[in-house]
Amino acid sequence: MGKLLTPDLCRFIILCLLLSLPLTAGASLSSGTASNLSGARNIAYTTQTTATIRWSMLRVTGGRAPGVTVTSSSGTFTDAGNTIVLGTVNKALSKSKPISPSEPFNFSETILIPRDVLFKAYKQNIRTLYYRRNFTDCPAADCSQITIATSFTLTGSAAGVFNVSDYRLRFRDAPLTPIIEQDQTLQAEARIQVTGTGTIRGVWEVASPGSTAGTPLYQTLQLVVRQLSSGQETPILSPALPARQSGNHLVRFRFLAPELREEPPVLQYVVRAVPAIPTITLIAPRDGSAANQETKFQWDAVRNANGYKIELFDRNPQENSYPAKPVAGMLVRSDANHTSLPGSLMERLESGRRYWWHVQALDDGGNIIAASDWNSVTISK
Amino acid sequence: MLCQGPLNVFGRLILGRVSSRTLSDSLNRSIMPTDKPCEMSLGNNMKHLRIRHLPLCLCSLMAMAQPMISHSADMLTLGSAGEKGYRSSLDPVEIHFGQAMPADLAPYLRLEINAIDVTDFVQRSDQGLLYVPQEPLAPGFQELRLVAMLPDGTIEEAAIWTIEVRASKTFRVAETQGQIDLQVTHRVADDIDNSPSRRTQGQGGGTFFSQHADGDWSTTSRANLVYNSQSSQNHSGKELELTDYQIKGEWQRATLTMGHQNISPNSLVLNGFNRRGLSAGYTSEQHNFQTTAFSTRTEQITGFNHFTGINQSNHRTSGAMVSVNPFTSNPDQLTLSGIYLQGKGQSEGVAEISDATDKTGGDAQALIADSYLFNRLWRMRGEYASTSFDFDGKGTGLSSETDDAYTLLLDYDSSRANNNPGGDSGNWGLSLQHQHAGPWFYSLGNTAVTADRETTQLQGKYWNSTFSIIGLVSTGEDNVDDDDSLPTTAIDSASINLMYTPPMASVDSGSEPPAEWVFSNPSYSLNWSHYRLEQIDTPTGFTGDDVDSRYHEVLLSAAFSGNGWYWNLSQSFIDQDDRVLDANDQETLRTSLDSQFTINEYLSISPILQRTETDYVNQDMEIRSWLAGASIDLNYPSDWSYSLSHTVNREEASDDSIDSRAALTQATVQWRYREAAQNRFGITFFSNGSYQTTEDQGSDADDYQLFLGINVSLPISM
Repeated sequence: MGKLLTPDLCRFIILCLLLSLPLTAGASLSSGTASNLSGARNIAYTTQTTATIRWSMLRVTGGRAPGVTVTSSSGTFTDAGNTIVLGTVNKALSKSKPISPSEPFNFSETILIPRDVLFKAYKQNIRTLYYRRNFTDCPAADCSQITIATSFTLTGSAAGVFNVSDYRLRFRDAPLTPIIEQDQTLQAEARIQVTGTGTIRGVWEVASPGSTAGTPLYQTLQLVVRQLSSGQETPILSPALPARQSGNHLVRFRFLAPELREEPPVLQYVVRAVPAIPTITLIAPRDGSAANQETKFQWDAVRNANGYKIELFDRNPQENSYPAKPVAGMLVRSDANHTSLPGSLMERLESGRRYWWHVQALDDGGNIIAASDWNSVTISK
Repeated sequence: MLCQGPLNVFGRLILGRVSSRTLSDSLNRSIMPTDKPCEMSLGNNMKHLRIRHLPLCLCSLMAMAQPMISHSADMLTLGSAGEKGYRSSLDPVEIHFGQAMPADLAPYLRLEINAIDVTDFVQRSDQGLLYVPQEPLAPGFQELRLVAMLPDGTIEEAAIWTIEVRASKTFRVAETQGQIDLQVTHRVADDIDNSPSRRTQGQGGGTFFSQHADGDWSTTSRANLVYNSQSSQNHSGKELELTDYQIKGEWQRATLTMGHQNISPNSLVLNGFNRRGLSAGYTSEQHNFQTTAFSTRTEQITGFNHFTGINQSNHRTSGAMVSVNPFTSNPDQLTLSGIYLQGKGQSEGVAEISDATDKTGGDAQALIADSYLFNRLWRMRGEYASTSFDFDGKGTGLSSETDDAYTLLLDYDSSRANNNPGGDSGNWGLSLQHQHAGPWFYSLGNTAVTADRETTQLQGKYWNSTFSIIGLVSTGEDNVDDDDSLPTTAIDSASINLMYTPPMASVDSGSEPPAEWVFSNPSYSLNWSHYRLEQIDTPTGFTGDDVDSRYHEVLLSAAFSGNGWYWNLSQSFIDQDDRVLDANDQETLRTSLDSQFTINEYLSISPILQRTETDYVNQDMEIRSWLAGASIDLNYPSDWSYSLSHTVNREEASDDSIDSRAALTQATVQWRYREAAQNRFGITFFSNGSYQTTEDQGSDADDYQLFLGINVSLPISM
């Protein structure tokens, strides 16, 4: 007898029973299940956390019914006996589709389990909390409703299921919406706190003015895979953001896994045009070479220059976001496109130390009309 | 001795020791001896000066309206500001020779202004030196230094003055600057979903900065505004958005700041709290007492609404900080700080996803002792903090919950020593830190502290000019209150970061540097980290999942660069081994190649290639992602610029649950019709477009947009 009841035969019998239900029991929602897609039931009892739930149910009916809409207006966090309500999620779920006894209604939702719910649960000695939803197909004829629940177990802060608990999008060393000059270096920073430990996958994306004046189209700048763990706020830095084209740009870090409970925040930055200054080509000394009092600093002459200013810095000005003052420098007449550093300036420089230098051409009014790139020299005395 | 008075020229000292007997005699006759030490306020730039000085000093004071009245007039005096009563940024600098000035010294004098030698533009005469500024001197106090470079190579410092450059008689500094940029863009063609109904859109931004100062007070203000006719792209939902601003006034040692604050005392209860609000601060004359009181918006905000940030009591965090250095002779020896704050609101603000529970709030306080000892080599820091926070909302449900946290740090760092040689001899450091935070420790001023965690961490590091290594081991536990209804999990981690940059070959100034090739100027790094979680105590009746997992991450990278180019290659491997939930096991491999090549002054190319592969080892499933692309920028002729970029992003799963491909091509052409200059419009015409193809699980879409536009920019300076 046991061998006769093969799995396929069982499925067939169940299907026949389901099909015959409407004839005997009328229309109803049944076979409700809730799956926790986050991978584990553990949630840290001190940190708000995110969970992704898949609700599934069958709607059976007699005769040939048209489509039906199944809805759930809200979800509640409760204790096991459903006597203590710890919190409510006021987010409606709704789906319409033709009725099929074999194709369930499926809903996915990503919820936040807030800190106040965890706090109330802990304080009332609830160590397993339930998230429940009532689904109904009303006002359809012979409508019914079903309550489905999934459970979470409170655990210590390190053992919660891996998820993003806090996420903040910022620019590094810049305001929330910075206005930068063309080709200025700017990086965004995704500051992420997680519960548990796991691997995050995401992409840095930017929409340039070529689309932000219409529908933003995001270009992927970088694929990110990082292992994160609770206990720290981890910054994930973007690559240098595009800053060639003037106009408004949008930047975001889009999570691929785990899912965020809402759309990722987007930051805006504005690139503004700056007057283009011609470049002075530096001739000597070559970048990275040694220099002493005899070294001739030479550059290409600039037409209409009244003079040149050579400046030396002890830090690379391109790598410092804060303006630095030159350690030494010199004004040179325009009839000479070269100079050597007098002893009084050499005294300001340390032997064996690296310095970055550049040249600016000045007009009669002291305005900068051309500038060189930065080269470095190591002082040898 | 700083010689000063109600003057606009502070001649501080004339020092010198000359090797020539004639000059020495002359100088010494003109120098008045004093038993007080001379103050050499030369700034950091001068700390390596090796010029010899006599232990004598002389002040050359110049009254505002009384030129050259000085007891140092025997030798060198600085000319006065002239008839208008102040020195402006383009006023000539006159240095007059006194009777005691040796005639043969004059040709050897060199003039420096703020470390810039301007001698080439100095006009010499028998009476003195005259320098007409070739670029405007910045308002404020500027340093003039006169140096004698004698024929035998000896360098003597003849005089240093601090001069005051004023914007006007009323203000020492009076400056207003800004720039407005506005783009008007018209969509001339498109085929894309959800395109905005208006074909013509406006975007832009404005920055404004001003500062005024005189005497012992100053004010600065700055503001950033963004305009976007698609208001949904602005955080405030308005077309014109005030993104951030700050107005700051300083009077003597007191400050008052309105707008965006930067309150970051690195405390468990307050750190990185950059919000809009008001603050006031005071620093004592010896800088051994500092206090700041603040009241700010709890949440990060933008826009014109809630301009002050403190208009809603349910979204306000207020507090005060006090810091005292009891040992004035060596302030770093001990710093004692106290912090108190009280706040209401949410931890979720603009561009944040966090806890948005309404009407929560509480207060927090911290005491900090920080000490640098033994030539700053050792640092000891301890902080105790406590919070009281109502997690389910003020006045509802449960009452506030009180908890505490502390951190102890013992740190040695050889680079902190004042006489640290650094360089190739290297530096090293060792630090031991222990931190405890209770489960309900929570401050709105620093939401990054992980509650319910006790951690001990040991870090060692060594670095020199080419090599660095940082090693870290850490061990900790959760369930710090030993609640027997909750499991306890141990968290252990270790990491090593190695970096090696071979020294650059020494190149003589006269010789050619080594030829560059594709592997020039290398830099290598290796990062390894290990993380382990293990449930070490399970309560009876626990219904959750046990925890036993290990994580490894290895990152290798190499970077090479030359004149106008770089490329770097990196590879990382992440192994996630969950011994309870097999489905969580993952192995991820990521490879990345980034580069930029500047072909010449007009053309640059930036290719990129990245690949990630995640293997869910117990689910027989792999997810693979690819990113490939390149951008080309061309600036030729000088008023024209072109850019073209193309990227392809592909993601697929071995079980076909993911199968997507997106390609985006963007192009821009710009023609600068008129260059912007101070208080003069700059105009640029442009055209840009984008074309995107997407394929996702069999559904395809092609979208494009083409725009024409004009960009107007106006730099403002007053």
